[in-house]
Amino acid sequence: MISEINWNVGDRFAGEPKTVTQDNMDRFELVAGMAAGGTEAADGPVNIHTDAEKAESMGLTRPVASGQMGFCFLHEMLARAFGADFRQGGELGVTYLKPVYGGDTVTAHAQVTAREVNQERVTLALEVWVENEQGNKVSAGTARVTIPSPLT
Amino acid sequence: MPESNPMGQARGQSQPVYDRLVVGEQLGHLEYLVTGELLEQFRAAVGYPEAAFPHLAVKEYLEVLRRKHGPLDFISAKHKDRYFHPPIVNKRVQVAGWVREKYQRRGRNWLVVETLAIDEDGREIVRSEHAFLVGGLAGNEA
Repeated sequence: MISEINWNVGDRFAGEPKTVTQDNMDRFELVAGMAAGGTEAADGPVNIHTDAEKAESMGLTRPVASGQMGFCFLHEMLARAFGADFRQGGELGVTYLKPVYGGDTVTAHAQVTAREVNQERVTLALEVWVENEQGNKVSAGTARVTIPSPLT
Repeated sequence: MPESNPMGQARGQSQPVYDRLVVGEQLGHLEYLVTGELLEQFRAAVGYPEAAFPHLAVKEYLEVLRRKHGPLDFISAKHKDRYFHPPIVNKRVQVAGWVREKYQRRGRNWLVVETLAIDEDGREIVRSEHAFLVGGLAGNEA
C-alpha cells in the first residue's frame, strides 16, 4: 500500500561511520585480482590504492582509497533503507570529489528530493553524498528507487 | 584529487592506449565465478556482511578495457549503476563493455566506459557507467 510508504521529500538519513584502513583498501583491490585471475589473484593488484610508489607516480602523496569504496558505503546505506527495492531496480550515480586515505572516517548520507506516485508504486529521488570527519563531501551524486520495485 | 604535483610519466604511458580507443568500440570480455571467498573478501573490505554486489570492487569497467588494450593509468571521476539482481554464488558472471564517450577537457583525457553484467543463466546483474581521467592529474588540479 502506498500509504505505508513513509518516505517524504526532505527526509534525511545516514549510514554508519566507516573508518577506511589500508587493510580494507588492500582487500578491496584483492577482489579485483581474484576476479581477473592470473598473477594478480594471489596478492592483489599493485596500484594507487595499495602501493605508495604507484600513488606518487600519479601525483598522490600516498595510497588513496578507491572511490568505489565510498560508493559501496552509499550502496549499503540505500540497501539498508530500501532493501530489495534498491538492490533490484535501484540506481546510484556519484562523482568523486576528494581523496579518502587510510585512517579517514567517512559517513554516507541521503536526502529525499522528490517523490512521485504512479499507480501502486512510489519513486523516490535522492541526493546522496559521503562526508569525511571534517564534514567535507568526498563524493556526491543522486539515487533513485521505486517502491515496490517492478523487478521484485 | 591529488594533493600535490605532477606526473607526466603516467600520462605519457597511457596516451597511446587512449589514442587507440574509439567511441562505440566493444572492449574485452570478462567472465568470472562469484565464489563464496570472493564475496567474503568483498564484504570484509567494505564492512557490510550483507553486501551483495562485488562488481564494485571487481571494477569490471577497468578489466574489460585492460583485456583489450593492456594496462592504463587512470583516476576515477564518476560511477553510475543500475541494479537488476544480485549475483548468485557459484554462478559465472559475464561482462561486456564498450567505449561510451571520449573527450578532452582542459588538456586532459576523459573516457567513459559502459558495462553490462549478466550471469550464466542470462539474468541481468548490473549496468554501469564509469568515467575516468586517463593518465592522472597535472599541476595542482583537483
